[in-house]
Amino acid sequence: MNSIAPESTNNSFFPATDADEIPEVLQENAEIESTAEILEEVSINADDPDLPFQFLNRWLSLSETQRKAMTIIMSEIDLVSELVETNISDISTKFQELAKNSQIQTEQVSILADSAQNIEYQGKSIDLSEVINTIDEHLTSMIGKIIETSKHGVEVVYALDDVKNDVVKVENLIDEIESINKQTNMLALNARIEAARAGEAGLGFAVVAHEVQELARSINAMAGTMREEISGVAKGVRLGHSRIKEVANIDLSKNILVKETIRELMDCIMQQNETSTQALRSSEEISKDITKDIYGVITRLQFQDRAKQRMENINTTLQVMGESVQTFATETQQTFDINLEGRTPEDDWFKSVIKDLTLGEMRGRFLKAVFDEGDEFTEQTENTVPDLVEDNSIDDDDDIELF
Amino acid sequence: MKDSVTATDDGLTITLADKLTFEDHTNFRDLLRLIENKEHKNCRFDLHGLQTIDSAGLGMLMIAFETAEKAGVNFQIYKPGGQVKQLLDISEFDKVMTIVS
Repeated sequence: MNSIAPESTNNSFFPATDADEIPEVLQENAEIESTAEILEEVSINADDPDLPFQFLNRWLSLSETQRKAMTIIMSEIDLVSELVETNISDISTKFQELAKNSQIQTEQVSILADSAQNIEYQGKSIDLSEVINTIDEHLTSMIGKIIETSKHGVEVVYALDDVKNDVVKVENLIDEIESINKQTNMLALNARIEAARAGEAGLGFAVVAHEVQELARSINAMAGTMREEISGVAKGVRLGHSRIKEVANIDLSKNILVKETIRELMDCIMQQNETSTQALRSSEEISKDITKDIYGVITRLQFQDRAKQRMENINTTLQVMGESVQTFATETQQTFDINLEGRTPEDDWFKSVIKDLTLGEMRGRFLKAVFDEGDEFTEQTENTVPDLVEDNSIDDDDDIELF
Repeated sequence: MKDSVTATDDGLTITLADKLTFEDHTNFRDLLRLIENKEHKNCRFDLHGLQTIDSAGLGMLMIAFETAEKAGVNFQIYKPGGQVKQLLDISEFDKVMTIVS
């Protein structure tokens, strides 16, 4: 017996033998007799004929206490099973919602990533690179027209330069006509003088000279008109030349260089868009992984079914054990015709067991089941260390009750 | 615009320096007449010393090319640099005429 009897005082199955001594409830240092002390007592009182009955009485008391403890343990297991089932069910529901939202998020990120590469224009979805190419084509076309316009401007200036020179030539020709006409007029005048000197014989010649003079006068008038006309033309040409020079002199080289600036800006937009798209694709993949993980967690939460079944099996076993103990106790009482009266020393054992329980409400339920202590005790132990413990030596970790 | 003309058996080399703007259109026309003469089968516009050019200058180079083409003269722009090269590149002159870098 020495070899198997524990020497520990707190969890000993061999409580004190002094039935009159009432140990302090749940006191950490509650005195529970050691195995050696019990054996010593047995040795001293070996001749006492009542000693076997006393021990039997104590065994029955212990079995009664243990049966009560088993009952409350079964009750606690049911409670834990229900607690786990309820909370796992809630957690599973929350995870289902989380997975659903995660899936929606994945879809939205996917849509966003798809649309990042396209823009909507006049009801059509156009790829961004196609937009940039279109802008580039328009700019190239615009620059081609600038070059063409500049070329035509210079060509027109060249043409008007030629016209200006031609006008000067025409003016010079008019000068020559006027000079020739002046000489012609002088010749006609001289002819008329000579005709007058010739008298009757010169009459016909005088008529001709007169006509020539009139002709010269007409040519002179025509030359004057031509000069006026050509002067108007020259004025118009000079004005046009001046205006076209102003137009051709407008420098559009900076407008041409704008194409390069726009191209660089477009490249920046494309690069930024590419970065954003990659980030969105990455987010999409992460969201998918999160969704997958959540469904994995939901699957793993099904452990609760297995845990519940095991706890039910444990309870069934405990119930059989309790019934066996009860049957054995009843048969023992009937056989030896003894009564369980007075103090039950096994209280110390039980209290030494439950004092290590960290949940106050659980401790209260244990005490109520065994000692039938009232709700007052349970309420007192709800969130605090029981008042019965004077030295507060029992660690009560109620603050870890996360549920 | 500063210009110099070199005629060899290989052809006509017109070297332009400083800048080519609308103000140079009269002098440039004299150069066009050299091309129109058809005395040379090749014409090279050496632009390595040309610092800047405006849109009218680009138009004049295009006229020079068309004049050479009309006269059956091979036309070439030689070693443009800086802003001139940048503008020729953006305007895609290389798609129309030969540009030697």
